[in-house]
Amino acid sequence: MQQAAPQAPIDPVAVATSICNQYGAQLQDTLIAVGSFVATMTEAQARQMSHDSRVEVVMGDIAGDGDAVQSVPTAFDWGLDYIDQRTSVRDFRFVYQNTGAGVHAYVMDGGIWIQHPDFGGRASLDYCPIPGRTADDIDWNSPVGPHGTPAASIIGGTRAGVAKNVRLHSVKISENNRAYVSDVTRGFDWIVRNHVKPAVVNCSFGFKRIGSSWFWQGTSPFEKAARRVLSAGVTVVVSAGNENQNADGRSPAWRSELITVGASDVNNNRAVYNSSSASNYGSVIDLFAPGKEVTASSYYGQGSGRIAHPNAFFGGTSAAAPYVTGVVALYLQSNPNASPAQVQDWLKNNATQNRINTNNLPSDTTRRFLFTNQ
Amino acid sequence: MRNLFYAAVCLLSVGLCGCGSASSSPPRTPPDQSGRVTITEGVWGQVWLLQGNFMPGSATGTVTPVRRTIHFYEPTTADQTTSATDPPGRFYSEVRSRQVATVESDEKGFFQLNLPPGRYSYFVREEQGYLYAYTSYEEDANTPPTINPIDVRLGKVTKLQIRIDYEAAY
Repeated sequence: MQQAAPQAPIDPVAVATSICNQYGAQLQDTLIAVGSFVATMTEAQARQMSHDSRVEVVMGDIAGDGDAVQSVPTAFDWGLDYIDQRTSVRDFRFVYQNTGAGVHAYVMDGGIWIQHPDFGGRASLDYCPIPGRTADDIDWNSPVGPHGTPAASIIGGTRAGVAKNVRLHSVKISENNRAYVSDVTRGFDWIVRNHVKPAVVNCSFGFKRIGSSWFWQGTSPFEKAARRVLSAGVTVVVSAGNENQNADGRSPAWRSELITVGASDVNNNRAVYNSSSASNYGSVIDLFAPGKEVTASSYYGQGSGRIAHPNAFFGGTSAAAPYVTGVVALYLQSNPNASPAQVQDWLKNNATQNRINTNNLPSDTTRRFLFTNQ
Repeated sequence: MRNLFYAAVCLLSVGLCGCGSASSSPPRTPPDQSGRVTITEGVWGQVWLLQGNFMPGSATGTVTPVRRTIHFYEPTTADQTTSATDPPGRFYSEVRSRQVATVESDEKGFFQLNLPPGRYSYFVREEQGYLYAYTSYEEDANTPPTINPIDVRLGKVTKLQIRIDYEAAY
């Protein structure tokens, strides 16, 4: 955000518009009473504009008192950079007020390597219902690499995360990217019985929706379990899935009372990964969040030879949901008694409307994009 | 078996018939090639191409061993490279540090390379003609960030599992 003061405006709106058009800036507001305008622009555009005789000064926007600012150090790291601003002009910063302190995030995934420095001792191995496995079996041998650790880092990593002081709980319900509905159901059950409020659950997993061809109608047992979690006052965030299909066919993504998250890319398009895989879409999606080529904390290697990695690439709706979970933690810090429905309404209303492009988005799918600031 | 057990627990009153799989198949791990290593100091590894969906519960993606050329450079930082994309991503059109060695993986993704002890950065030549870095870079407080670092120790062979996953979704 840049701010400038026109020198001798006759018609402030016309002058500001003219200046912005000349330098390719996007005019946000004309502040007639103080002879200024607010616009978004690149640094190069700002430098050019500063030499214009109609402009007294151009200055970069700064956060007010109480905000913390994290420099987003690399061009790779667009996820954090995008969610704290309404536009896609990168400022290479992540500005936040809350940190998720006092909020508990339950990560239903393949496990978290809690010793990773990015978690700062705020993560714990809480529960693992998988027979023969323990909570500290962290997908070491997965052929596709870590999953729970990068997801958790986006929620609450000190560097990679949205909520830098949230308490992270590992509920290990998958192994080598395979999950059973039984383990998921057990995981929800454990959370109902053991959670500490304020709390949010991240579900970066999904199944084919179990329909009436099965022996139950409509809602599956683990979806019912998820609703029990909601009834207990715990918000649940779920990935929309990566099948390039309507998320109405995925479970638990189709449940309207859960917060269903689609993935977008740096160009604000629905994320496409290859010819067969893209973010799901459809009317059940509540909002989009960064989910392609974002950076997260991860690790190399196995056993004692593993090496913490602060800047691994991660993508998919498994990456998008954790951004939303992190923002929910920020919100719950200030609104610890908010119900899941209130959190869902706030997320949708606070999101940047119409930010996702329509070019590969069905008309029934929201264009909302996650926004952090309250 | 685990699904049947679960159904019995939850749905005794309606029985077990019609109980299908409620889990996707796990990604199939290509055969381990460690038995083929013959060098005594350097790097050996496997190159796998990951494509498709790997979300837990929905993992239908494929893991395929592939032939690729792996380039080993002196430790390389971002300012010694030119990105092939805007914004920068995992592909590089140029790496300006000194290249130390290259090696080809075979149809099973296997490769081995004698390398003296030290730290290196590695890149994979992709079909688009660009060099691919599996992760962005390593970073700590005391050393400049190094792209895809790997260490070789005296008298040791370091395993390097390369996952090319820019077409994978998690």
